[in-house]
Amino acid sequence: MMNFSNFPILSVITYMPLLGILVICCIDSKRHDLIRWVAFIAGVVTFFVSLPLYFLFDATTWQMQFVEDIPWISQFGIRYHMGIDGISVLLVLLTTFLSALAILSTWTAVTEGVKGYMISLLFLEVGMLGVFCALDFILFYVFWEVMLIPMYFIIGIWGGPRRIYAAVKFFIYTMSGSVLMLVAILVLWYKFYEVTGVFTFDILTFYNLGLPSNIQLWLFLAFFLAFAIKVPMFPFHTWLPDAHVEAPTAGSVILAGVLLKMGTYGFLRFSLPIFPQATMDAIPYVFVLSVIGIIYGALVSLAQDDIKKLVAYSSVSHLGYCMLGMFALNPEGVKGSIIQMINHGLSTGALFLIVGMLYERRHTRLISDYGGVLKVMPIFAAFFLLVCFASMGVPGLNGFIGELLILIGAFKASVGFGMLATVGLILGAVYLLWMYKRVMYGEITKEENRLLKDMNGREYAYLVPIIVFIVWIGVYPRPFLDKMDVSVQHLLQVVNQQGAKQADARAVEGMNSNTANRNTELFAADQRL
Amino acid sequence: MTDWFHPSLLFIFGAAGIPFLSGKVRQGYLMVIPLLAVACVYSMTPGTYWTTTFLGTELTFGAADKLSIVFGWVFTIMSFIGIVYALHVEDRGQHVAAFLYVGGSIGVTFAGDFFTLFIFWELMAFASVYLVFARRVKASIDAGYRYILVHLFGGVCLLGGIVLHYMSTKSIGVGPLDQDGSLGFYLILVGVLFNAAVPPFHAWLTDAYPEGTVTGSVFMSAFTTKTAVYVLVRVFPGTELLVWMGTIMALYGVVYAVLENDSRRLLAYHIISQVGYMVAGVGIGTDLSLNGSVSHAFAHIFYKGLLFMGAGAVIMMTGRSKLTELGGVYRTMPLTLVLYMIGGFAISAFPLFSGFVTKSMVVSGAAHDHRPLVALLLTMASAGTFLHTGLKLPYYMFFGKDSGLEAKEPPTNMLIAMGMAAFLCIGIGVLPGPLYALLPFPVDYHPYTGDHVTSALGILLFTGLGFFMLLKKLDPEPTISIDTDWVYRKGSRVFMWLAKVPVAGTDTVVGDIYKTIICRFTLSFSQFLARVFDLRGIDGMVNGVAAFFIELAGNLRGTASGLVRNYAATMLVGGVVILGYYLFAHLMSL
Amino acid sequence: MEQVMATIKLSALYPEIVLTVFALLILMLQAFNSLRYKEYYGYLTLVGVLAAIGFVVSQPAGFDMRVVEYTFSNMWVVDNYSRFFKLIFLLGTGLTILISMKYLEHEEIQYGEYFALVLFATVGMMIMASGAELITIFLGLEVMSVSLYVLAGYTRTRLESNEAALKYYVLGSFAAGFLLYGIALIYGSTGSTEIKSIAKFVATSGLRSPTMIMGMALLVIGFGFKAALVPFHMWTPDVYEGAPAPITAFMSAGPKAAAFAAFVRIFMEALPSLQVEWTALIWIIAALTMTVGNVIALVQDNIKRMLAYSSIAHAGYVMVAFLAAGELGIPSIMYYMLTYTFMNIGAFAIITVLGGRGEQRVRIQDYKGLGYSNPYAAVAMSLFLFSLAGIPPTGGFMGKFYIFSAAIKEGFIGLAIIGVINSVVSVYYYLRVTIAMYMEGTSAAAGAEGQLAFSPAIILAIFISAYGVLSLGLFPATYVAIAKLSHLAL
Repeated sequence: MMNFSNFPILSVITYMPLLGILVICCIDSKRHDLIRWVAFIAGVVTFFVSLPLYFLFDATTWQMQFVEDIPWISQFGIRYHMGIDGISVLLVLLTTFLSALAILSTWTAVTEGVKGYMISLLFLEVGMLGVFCALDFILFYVFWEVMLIPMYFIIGIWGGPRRIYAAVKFFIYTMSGSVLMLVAILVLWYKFYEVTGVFTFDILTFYNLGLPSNIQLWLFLAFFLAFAIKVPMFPFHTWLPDAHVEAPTAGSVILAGVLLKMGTYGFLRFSLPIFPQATMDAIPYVFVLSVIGIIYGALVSLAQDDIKKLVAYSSVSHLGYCMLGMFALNPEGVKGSIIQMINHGLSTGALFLIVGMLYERRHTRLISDYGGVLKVMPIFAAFFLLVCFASMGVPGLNGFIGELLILIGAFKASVGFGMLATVGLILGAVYLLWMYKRVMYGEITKEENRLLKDMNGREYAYLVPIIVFIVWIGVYPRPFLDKMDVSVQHLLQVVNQQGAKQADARAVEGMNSNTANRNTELFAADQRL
Repeated sequence: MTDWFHPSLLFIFGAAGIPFLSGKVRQGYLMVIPLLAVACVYSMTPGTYWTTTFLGTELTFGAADKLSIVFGWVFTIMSFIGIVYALHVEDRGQHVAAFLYVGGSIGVTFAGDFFTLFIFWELMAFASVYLVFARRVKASIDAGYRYILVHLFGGVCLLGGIVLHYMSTKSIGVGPLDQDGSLGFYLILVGVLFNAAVPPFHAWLTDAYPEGTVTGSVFMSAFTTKTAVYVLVRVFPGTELLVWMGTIMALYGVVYAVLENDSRRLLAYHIISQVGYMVAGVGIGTDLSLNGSVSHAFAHIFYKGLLFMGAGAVIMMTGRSKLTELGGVYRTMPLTLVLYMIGGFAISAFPLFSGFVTKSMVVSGAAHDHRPLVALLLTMASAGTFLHTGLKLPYYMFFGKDSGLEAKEPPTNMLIAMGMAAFLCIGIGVLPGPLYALLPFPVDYHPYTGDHVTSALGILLFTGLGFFMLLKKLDPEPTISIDTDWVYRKGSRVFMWLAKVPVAGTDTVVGDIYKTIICRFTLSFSQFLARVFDLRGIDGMVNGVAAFFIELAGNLRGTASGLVRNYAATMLVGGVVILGYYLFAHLMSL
Repeated sequence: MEQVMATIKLSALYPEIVLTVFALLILMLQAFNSLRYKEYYGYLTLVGVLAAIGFVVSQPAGFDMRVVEYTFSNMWVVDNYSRFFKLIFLLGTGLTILISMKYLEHEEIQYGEYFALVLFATVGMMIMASGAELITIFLGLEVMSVSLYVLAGYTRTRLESNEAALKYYVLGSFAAGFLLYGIALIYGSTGSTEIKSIAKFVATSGLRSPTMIMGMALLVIGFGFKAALVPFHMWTPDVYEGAPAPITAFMSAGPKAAAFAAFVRIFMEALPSLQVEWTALIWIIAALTMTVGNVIALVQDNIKRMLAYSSIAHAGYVMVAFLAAGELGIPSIMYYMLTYTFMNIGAFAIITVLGGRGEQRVRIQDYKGLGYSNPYAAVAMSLFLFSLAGIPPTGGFMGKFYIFSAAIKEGFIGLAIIGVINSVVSVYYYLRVTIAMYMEGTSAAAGAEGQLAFSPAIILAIFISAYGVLSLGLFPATYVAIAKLSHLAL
């Protein structure tokens, strides 16, 4: 670690895609293949550059690692502060992993405006990586908002028939949540200034701030709205099906795979540790919403005729599990929630890729247009079935690990909600298998389906890696769970403060005073300026 | 590690090889794997092997004691027979599924903790459903879909129960649960009863088995329910509830079989009946009755397999499965007939056949435990079994009115498989010693006592007599003819009524609960949620907010009339309001 | 903070003098060699602007010390505050000139007066920023306004242009009346028009006379008109729509900033003791201005009109900062006006180009397919629009962030919430343009007949604006530092 402490690996990872963008900008927009290759290589390079994070990551400490911390706008105490811990390291890797595959997946799907498309995808990756690495509120917020722009264009330009509606809805809906978060951030910043006389936006500084509970409540609600929309939790989910259905395959993959996780990640990084009091009070309500989301999402996807919409609504259900486990506030629950974020990224991402394959062949996503595909695409069928199993949490595949941990956590927290959540498991199987049955089995009813070709090399290339991880996590999740163990423990300590006091409050205090000193110096510096 | 090898691995990893082999090589491969597994079990000594920690809990893959080893024996042997029976099948998917299926049930058998157990449990469900799908007709696909859903539901109950159990006791070791009547206890019980096909959780079995492929059903008849029985013996010995459930089961299957016309569905109902004995034995919970359950499961796997093989052979050769369409094939399929009849005698517990030495154990287990009523009912059930499986089915399938079918004997491999099963049926019946030696508890039970034999024979013979007298009444397409004596007619009428109205009624209801009510209701409800509540309700609200602003804008836009006087007036009004406000404030302050 | 007291010090007027000289020079040139070098007037003007910038920066000495220099017997003040604003004006003027040259040639109205008037207007603004005495400020305001009235009607062949000029003139003089009357009342009740002595008088006597308060209210109305605050905003859309695009750009940036400069100086330096009285009034005006501006902009089809309403909304944001005046508030106003100058003039530069002859093509649907027919212009336009919408990583976001942090620091959380919600509403109409440019098919409706060529000057203007927007968004530290130093010496 030490030798890396001076090398800004996180920034390198985060801005690596920008390099790709620069190169692409210099290429004539007619040369599509070249652009595709450059984008893909940029994605792959980013992934490989991010791999060291996993191996060099020290799982024995909850402290932030690979930290970079330089002043940015010192007048406000805004710093360029990057760093990851056990909670974010896997998400960073997931992002780089999925982005590369997503680029590969739209090789033939997008044929016009390839240049802009690839630029948007890479730009999007920058934003997402930044969100997971940022440890400064404003830096976080900047990345959080920046990412809206490329996604907006991806949906709006290369999307389906109702793309404009979907894109604008996505943009405005998510933004309306996050602006209130901005206000909350500023209030937090000012409250801290009132207490310490120091301007800072350093996230870690705000842990265990011990705000009065009524303020906590309001700030928590503001953050909650922002993240709940992003997740999306039950009543705030309606932008998701629109965005998913209209977005091109790669867009959906990124959207489901990574963007939604930013909401859950936000809860883990901000809401829980900064507003422990309010979190405790909110638990029952969040449980209710999550369970409604789980069952509601499953039921609604059961009724869809559009495969993609079905998968989209299934995300509502799966993310409900994440929220449930997270707010169970016990190690199993939180770890399950994090691993479930990864799982959902992989399995739902894979599902969207698979839907994309069908769509590229038949240019329809209506279930009724298929049937009997098994006969013509046996290998595809096998992959499809496996991914369905993974998504419905069949033992031996990744989904099971996450859901099991979450359920254990949920049962520990409240047997009633645990039971209700398990109902979701069945429904999950119901809609997925029913969809599979209608699409793959039976007689071939449509003539067009007789001529479908099975998967080609490129499709293997982007599906197989995901499958590998799906099985790996399902069979041997230890290497993934180990990374987050200590961080989760520490997070929980911070949240339920009793016990946190003696154990690590000291450390947090130390951190506070450090930041405090640092900021006072800078502050003085401006005065002199 | 070296002194013990997990047979499941042979099957699960062996399955991976199947798709790459073909022809004779594959056939050899298919047969070698089960034999190796048998060798594994043979070389097995009780003990605990292959433990690992996973998610912070101790997992045991190899918990081998007498109980699990005896099931290991029967599963591996049956898998061999089943594979031989299926050697001619070209669809590799079926073989893969079958292997995974077997691997799953053996995995359950040797699982030392609930977690491992659950994983293999689910593996079984997902592998076996393919054997139904593989028949590739609409009925099979629908049935398979229902099948997998039911098993998922059972699995979820099991999982929930396991989690609760783990939280209350902090241990997930498989062993007799203390019957505290806790939620966890019942959830696990229900989860297992689903697989054991105990009414009212049985509908999937009679729904799916007849729809499976000919070779698939043979496997299914052997593994799913027996694995459940194993878990019951392991976890729920002496659960009072099970005594009566089992007894009812035993009768239920028999009575309902009366109405059945499809040969394999009829056999399926008899699975329910036979498993009833085992469940009852578990409920009674004495050493004797537990031994009875285990040994009966042991024997049952072979003779029921044999019966399915026989029926399957006929279906395959004739292409028909309805009794009413069959008949008179004894001339062209004598071997099949003979082998089938051995199975029939075995299931009917004829002396010198395996059923006799095992079933009677359960019955006398009940008797010794001073449950005369249970014993009586079970005996009656066995009479009914003989009536249908031993007499009615073969009669209509092989004899009866000649349907003029010119069916050949089935392929040799099928006959060989049936032969092996038949050999075991008789072998166990004649020399029960080796089997008894395998049983978990010490056995001092002698089936061949005078009264046993005579009473058994008595029952059976009278049943046989009754059968040929009531022949017409038991006709699968019942037509009451006047000329028979009124006693029998009345008797038959009453019997038929009993069989039809209440039992049939309940069964259809149970069968339809998940088919019709749940699915339909859930579907329509979700339709409502998706089409109305989600789009109109929630999304409508979201879009409503946006629409409101646009509306507002449209109205406000009118203010920009473009007329200077209006603008000036607005400014003036604004100014007056402001000034008025201050003036007012000032006057107030005075 | 040392105070230099000098009655006459010409150096304090160098920037204004330079501009005036250049303006007259241009007029003379045109008078003598009738329009022979007309295409060079623009560059000449630019030289003047650059010279003025040089003087502003250099007087009295760098930015590194807080000098407040009162001259001309306290009628004139040179401090960092006024200098920062002057730089904003000169920046706006420079960019406007860059945009205008091609436009004028294209509309065949390439006369010297145009540049002279622009320079005079700029001088007026600078006087407003530096005036330390109410009459001086009023004079500056009139110089600026009169020049703008003419400029608004400069394309005399276009009806809308004339209409705009007339409306602007009538309503403008109406507002000037309010302003003057307010000045009179304040003079009547304090006996002075000098900001410093007014402040001293009010502070010592703790005067709360109704006339005083009325005067204050009338000042609010007068400046409210220039800054286009609701309900004195009605003229804005019509005038912005009618005036020549470059002049619209000019008006939306400089004069607004000037109005705020004077507004803030008077209220913070002369009438701080009346803060209690005006807080409530400004609160309501700010909320109204933001909301009305944004909401009405939602349904505009003419992009100039849309930006007019958006500029009203932005004035509302600035008023929030005005309320939160303090060590964060006033710098945030400067920072915001700087950003706004960049992004708004940048947007108008592109509108000017695409408008084509007689500005026929200024409806949003005229921008259809621009993303494909002219990707660079489209990208630049999107950048400016996202900045106006306040999306990071643009200056617009940092400006809003600055303002709202100030508001929250001073406890105006309610206003901050109204503000951010408004910025969400505003996103919609900014997005509409990007939709037209990228998402409504590639059929290149834009870039058709009559479009101006992207002359080097305009490209330079766009480039400078884009650079400003991005650097203000990504590396704001230095700008913030300067703004902080330019804080009023209260």
